[in-house]
Amino acid sequence: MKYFPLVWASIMRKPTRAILTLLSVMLAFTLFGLTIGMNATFAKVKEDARDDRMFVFARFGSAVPIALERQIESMPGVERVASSSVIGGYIQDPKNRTFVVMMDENIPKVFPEYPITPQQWQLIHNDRQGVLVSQMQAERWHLKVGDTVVIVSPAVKKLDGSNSWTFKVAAVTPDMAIFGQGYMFGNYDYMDKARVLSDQGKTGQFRVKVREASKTPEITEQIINRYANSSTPLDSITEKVAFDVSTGTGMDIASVDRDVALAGMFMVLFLTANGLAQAVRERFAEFATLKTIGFSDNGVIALVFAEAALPCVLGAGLGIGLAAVISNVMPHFLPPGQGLPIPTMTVMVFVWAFLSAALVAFMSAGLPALRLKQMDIATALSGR
Amino acid sequence: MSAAISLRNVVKHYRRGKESVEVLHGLSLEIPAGQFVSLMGPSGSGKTTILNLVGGLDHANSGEVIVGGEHLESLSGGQLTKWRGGHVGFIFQFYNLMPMLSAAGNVELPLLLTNLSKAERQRRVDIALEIVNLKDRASHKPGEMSGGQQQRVGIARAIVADPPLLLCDEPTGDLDRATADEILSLLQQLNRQHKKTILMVTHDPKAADHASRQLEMDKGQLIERATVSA
Repeated sequence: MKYFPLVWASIMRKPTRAILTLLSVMLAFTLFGLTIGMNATFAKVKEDARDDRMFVFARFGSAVPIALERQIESMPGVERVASSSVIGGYIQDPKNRTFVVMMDENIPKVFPEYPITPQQWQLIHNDRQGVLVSQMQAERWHLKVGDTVVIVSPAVKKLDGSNSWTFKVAAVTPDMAIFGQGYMFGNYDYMDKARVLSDQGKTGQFRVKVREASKTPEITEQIINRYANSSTPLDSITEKVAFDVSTGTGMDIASVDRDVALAGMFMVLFLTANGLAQAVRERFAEFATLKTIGFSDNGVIALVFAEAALPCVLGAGLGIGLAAVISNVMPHFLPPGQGLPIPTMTVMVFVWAFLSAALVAFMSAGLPALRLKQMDIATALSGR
Repeated sequence: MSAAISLRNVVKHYRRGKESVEVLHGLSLEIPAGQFVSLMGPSGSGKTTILNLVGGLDHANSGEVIVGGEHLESLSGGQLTKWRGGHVGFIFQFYNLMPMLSAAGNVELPLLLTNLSKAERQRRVDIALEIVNLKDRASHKPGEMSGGQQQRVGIARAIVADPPLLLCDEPTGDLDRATADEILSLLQQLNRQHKKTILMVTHDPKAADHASRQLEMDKGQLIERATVSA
């Protein structure tokens, strides 16, 4: 600690340069935090996705006859089928976009991991207009149990000609990583009975749970083949594949994400290494003086390393902190229902950030340290 | 009186490009403890080379350099660094202060290498600044002080760890006459009252007159000019 004033004074010798360096490091680590946090989200979603569940949906068009639910459920190896449709729209103002997933009574059996109690599920089955609102959505729209919320859905018309869907908040439930901006769950029956006749009896998709995960590809194939020549050909994809960002998109998003983080780190490395090299060059005679009065090679190198580490670690801390704040407020500014992932600031994101900061500091200090170690004090003092 | 500095048959040469230039040709010198010695001579005559050898900043190509009983040629780089910290105080022509540290911060630097407590370091810094009559400027940065004041900070830094030997490389070379006299008087005071052995390189005959012994370098050889008994 006794050397801290010396290190701090050296850094603040050129305050503008120090502050700009700190800001650059901070912004680079904000980017780093958000990208690595995004990867953490992808990893979490992938980890949570199950390979004994699959999506089944219409190959062409957007609706599937609800009658197929029972047919699929009767297929060998299928344990349970649930259906869900979405009422997408807005609350009061078109810019207040939101959505309600309308679910049938099988959903709790297909998704037992949802943090919703049987009593809460029962609430929306007892009251068809009931809706389960996640914490995030409740905060966003200032909703509490018993409140009425009206969603205007231009795409989902009602029998009475309107497109205003009225819901009553039945419970506020915990958020889930898979719904980055929160969720609202309603009763499919309410939607089906209230919409225009031509749309009744149809659903958006089925979620199929199979008895053995190893049979999932086989059952997927069977479903596709069974309905290939029907009026509604179906397609199917396992949850594991659907939620793996490295598949199905034509590129490995997680690795692109990592590359962006690495590019940010390289930028910081270049910046701090250049700044530090310049600072050491400018103060070569001062370092020679320190060595003259008894500072060892390692002591002087430690000072240079500390000069590099302080802005890196401080910038990393501030940057990751900013990334955490952005991650927290981001869901409030993004439209829900778009499947936009939100970075997750796990402990590992912080650990990676601080390890990267230390590595950047170490690498930045490398060349100046070598130069100081090879310094000929007499020559440096003479200014030659 | 025992020798504080003893140079025996010291040879030093430098490489300048492909050429090897011999600066010291078997030079010998004895400086007893407590002596204030000035060393004059034309540029390139080897004055600073002697200072660097005595201060352990450079190695002789041959011969012996013994300072305070220590054979410097036998010490490694790390050992020399440690030895310098405890045995030698350096005073430079251009002060070589850290511009971002206060006078007190600059003076404290050699003490950071010790295990002294913060309070003890502060006490010693106060004493050193008192000796150079700069206690009231302790919180000022070098840029806020005159050349003479900066040099006094440099002297305080050189004496704060209480080394027996002070090596001064043209300590008044950047100062006006009056200020230079003040600095030289201060060095005399350190020599007489605090018993510091001082080796001072200078171009200025008037500065050399403040020393108790005057030496002159000429073509790598030493010539005794005058010795005044203390």
